[in-house]
Amino acid sequence: MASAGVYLVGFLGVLIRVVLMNTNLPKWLRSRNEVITPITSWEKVEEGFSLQRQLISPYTGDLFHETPLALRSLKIAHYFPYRVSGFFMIIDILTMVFLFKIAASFVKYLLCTQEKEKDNYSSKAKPLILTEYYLSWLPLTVVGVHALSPFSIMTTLASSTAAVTNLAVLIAFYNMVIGNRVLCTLFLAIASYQTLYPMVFIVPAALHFCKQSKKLASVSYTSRESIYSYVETLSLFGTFLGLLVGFSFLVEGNWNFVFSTYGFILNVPDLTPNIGVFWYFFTEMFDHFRTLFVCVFQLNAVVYTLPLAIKFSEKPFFLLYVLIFLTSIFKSYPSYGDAALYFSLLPLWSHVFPYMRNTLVVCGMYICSVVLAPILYHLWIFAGSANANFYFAITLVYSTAQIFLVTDVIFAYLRREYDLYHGTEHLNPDGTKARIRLD
Amino acid sequence: MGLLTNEHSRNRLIKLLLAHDTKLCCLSYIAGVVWFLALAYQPFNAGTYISENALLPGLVESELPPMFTSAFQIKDEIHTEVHRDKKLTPQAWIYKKFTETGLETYTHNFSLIYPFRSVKSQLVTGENVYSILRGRRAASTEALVLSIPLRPLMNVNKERPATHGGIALALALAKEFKRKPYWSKDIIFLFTDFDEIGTLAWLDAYHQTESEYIKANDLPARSGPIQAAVNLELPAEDVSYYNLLLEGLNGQLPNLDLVNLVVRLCRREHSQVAIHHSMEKRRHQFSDSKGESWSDFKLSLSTMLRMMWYQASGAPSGNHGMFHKFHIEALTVQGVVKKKGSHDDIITSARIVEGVFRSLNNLLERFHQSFFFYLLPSTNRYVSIGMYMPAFEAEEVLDKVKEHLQEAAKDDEFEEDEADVNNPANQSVLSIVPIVLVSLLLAWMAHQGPELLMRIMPRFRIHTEDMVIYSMLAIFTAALMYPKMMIRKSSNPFLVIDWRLLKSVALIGQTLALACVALLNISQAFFLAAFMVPVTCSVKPSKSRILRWIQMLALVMVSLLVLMYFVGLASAWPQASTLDLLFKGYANTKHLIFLGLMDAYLFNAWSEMIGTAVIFPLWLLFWAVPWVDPSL
Repeated sequence: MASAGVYLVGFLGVLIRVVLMNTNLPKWLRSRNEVITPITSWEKVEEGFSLQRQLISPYTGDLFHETPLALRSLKIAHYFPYRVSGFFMIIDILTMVFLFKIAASFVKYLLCTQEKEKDNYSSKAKPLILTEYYLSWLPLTVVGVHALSPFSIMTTLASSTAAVTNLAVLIAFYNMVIGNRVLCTLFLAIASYQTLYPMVFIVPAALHFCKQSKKLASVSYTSRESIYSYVETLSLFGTFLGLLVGFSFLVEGNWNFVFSTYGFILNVPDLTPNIGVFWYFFTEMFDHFRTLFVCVFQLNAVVYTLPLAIKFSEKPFFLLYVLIFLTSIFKSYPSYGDAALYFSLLPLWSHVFPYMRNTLVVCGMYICSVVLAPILYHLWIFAGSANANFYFAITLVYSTAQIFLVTDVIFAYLRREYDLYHGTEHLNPDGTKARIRLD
Repeated sequence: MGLLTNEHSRNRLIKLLLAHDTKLCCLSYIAGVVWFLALAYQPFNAGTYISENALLPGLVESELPPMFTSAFQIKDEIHTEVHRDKKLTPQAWIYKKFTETGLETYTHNFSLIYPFRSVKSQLVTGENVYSILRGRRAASTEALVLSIPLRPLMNVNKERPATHGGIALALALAKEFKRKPYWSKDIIFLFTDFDEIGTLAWLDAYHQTESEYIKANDLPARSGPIQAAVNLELPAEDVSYYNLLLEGLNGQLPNLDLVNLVVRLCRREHSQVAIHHSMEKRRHQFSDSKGESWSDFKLSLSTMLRMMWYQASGAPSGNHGMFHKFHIEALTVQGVVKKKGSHDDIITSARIVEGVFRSLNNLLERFHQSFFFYLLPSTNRYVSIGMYMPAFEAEEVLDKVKEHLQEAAKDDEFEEDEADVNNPANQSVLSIVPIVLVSLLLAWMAHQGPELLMRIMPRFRIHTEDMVIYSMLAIFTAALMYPKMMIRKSSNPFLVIDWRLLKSVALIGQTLALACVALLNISQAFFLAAFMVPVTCSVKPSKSRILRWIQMLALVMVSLLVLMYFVGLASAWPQASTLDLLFKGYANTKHLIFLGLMDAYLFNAWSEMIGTAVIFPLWLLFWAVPWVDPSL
């Protein structure tokens, strides 16, 4: 039943995309700065191709921001049936396949860890225990969300190269679930090589492989063996990343590409409005403060890794998910492509949804910001009757909605953990119902 | 965040809201509407002022010769010219005269492809004339436009008056302007054929854009980006007052500074100026009376409502509307002739136009200082976005409160702490999916209906206007029956329609849609909200058959076609008998819908799309609610 549903829903998703591809929508989406950023725009990739054909290095100007290996490998898009749109359809289908695989193996992982920890659970936590029947719907939900989510549909239609990076992250995620350290670090290295931020995902990966190598329920994360395991994962990752960068240097012949790709991501020179928090702030900034605030903003994107890694050291997958979420909020050029990734993975935590409290507010904020953003952009740029503040306001709403959602998910996760060990009924000493507070 | 994380205080708030839900809803709706209308009351709005310092309208001393005899001569010439053939417009004459003046003059041809196939000759051609006065102190980097529509005498009516005074004035002014050394912007004198269509064709050609049905030739010469435009519709006779038209395409308005500038310069010449023919008493214009009396309030309220009425249609009220599409501030100045009262001759008009152009010549940047979102209760008072948005939100807030309550009521049904994760409780969500899909499908049909019909049109010998309204009626009637089929099928207990969820979804959609429309066109959103919100908020399934019928009747009354019929009735209002009124109302409705459709095709106006593709499906969702069996 469920597996037939997966095919059906996947087919439906492909159908929707194919139908919409034949309308004016892709052309419009390609010009939308919520969907396309300078580093994910296919038009810029085409610019890179044509510069290369003219024997001009694409990195001499300020047009092209893909990595050298991406420049060479994305050329295959022209050999696909229906060319570029066909290529992105195939990427999308592959994404669905890997989402399905992730969900299927994640179900096994969840049941397995539950079996291990079951003895420590409270006797009153029975209703919270996951059943195989409930989890059997998980692959269907994950694929269904990806197939029907407007964010992923928009990303595919706009042929944003964020889809390729997302696929790399998903393959890494999959290999982490099935415990393949080499492939996991390889694909993390590819994703980091592309957009830099996935570098922090190596932390949950290292934690997971350390835990896996112990095969014990309780492990010390500071013991000598653990550190040895971390170093092993990190050095694998470092080797792959080094190889990718070194190979880029070999094919390119100089280091110019570093400034056009990683420099472009880190230094944020392009302040075209997008749905992130960077552009408005830096248009207002005096130049001599710029360096300081660029550092602060970039640190903000990754600094949560450390406290979260300490809190969730036992739950590397949840940690990975939260990090995917946080980097897509705070990265320098975010787009709906990043939202597509975390929304597709969100159902993996559907067992904590009943504990979430702000779903209506968050949904409302998401819908409002997605609908209002193009309207306010129109009023600002085309009609000239509004100004930048209108559009900035809606990007703030979008960022706030994301932050609410991620805090809500974290809260719900912790709340469920608490209930697992303390039962679902909480009574004060005098027998009245108690309230649980998160401090 | 306190409210978001603290469950206790939030539950208390929800309980409070639940207890007083109906009272709160009524209160907020009434407060919203009253507040909005009260904004026309003088103590609640603000006096206009010129915010762009560079305009300096007080410093423009007229340099026109005191007798300005050439203007009268030209007026006589053009009078004989246009009376030679009442069917033609005098392009050739204008071209000759402007070339004689020594200005670069060009003609511009365009053709209109008629979007409906019922007419035999689908191609209509027109010709614009334009002439560029190159500013001596600039390199053609900026331009101002004085546009004058050309109308053959036989087509002149009350809404589209003759403009021959304007042509004479433009020519006389061109001669005077040419001698002056101080122009730092080019001035383009533009004479357009077929009103908005010609203007759009010229603007398309000027900016090298293309539209689907209006094909314009390339322009032989251009100037820089156009900073502002004044569309002048002056009759040959002396005028009693000047009427300003502001509303552009899709409810866009020109920058308030431009309006203030024109009003101020008219006042300086001691001429009467009005918005939508609503005359203010003279004493208000000069003495700063408080305007607190009831009759003053009635006057300013009617002025504001008239402006909102035009804005709500989303159609441009004059040629200036097309300039707004290209981010150019523009308005129309109409000279209105009345038998009684004082009159201003062409010299006064010339001084006003001269003053406006010399002020605009002072501009250093684009208009950006003053308001773009405003309503005008009189020529010297304004209501800004900051004043009207809260009122509109209050009107809408019951929508939001209601939808939150719907959700809260659902939440209360199961205890929050006993979350049974093994029960996928999304059956009810699935049950409303078919309804949503069907209403979207019907909306798509309503949106595409005319286009589909266009393909099969020549087979019938029916008038185009009739064809359009019949197709709309057909879809509407089909839509009325859809809940019957949807709800009968769902005898399956798993597919019982959760009407609370359906209504919440519809309310969320309605709130969002109205908020979006309000940003683009506040008047349209206001009228829609004022009629729809009270009905859509109060629908619910009921056991009593009478109650259900009343609800359905109320819903039909606020459906878009019936609302359009009311608009038709209102525009046909004083009629001899009721029957006459009903028929005339129907004819007007037909015409209005047809015009809306034409605007959508030719000018890319959004009203038709908002009506069929946004408001119609939402209404259909509400329409399904009273059909649901309340016992489930």
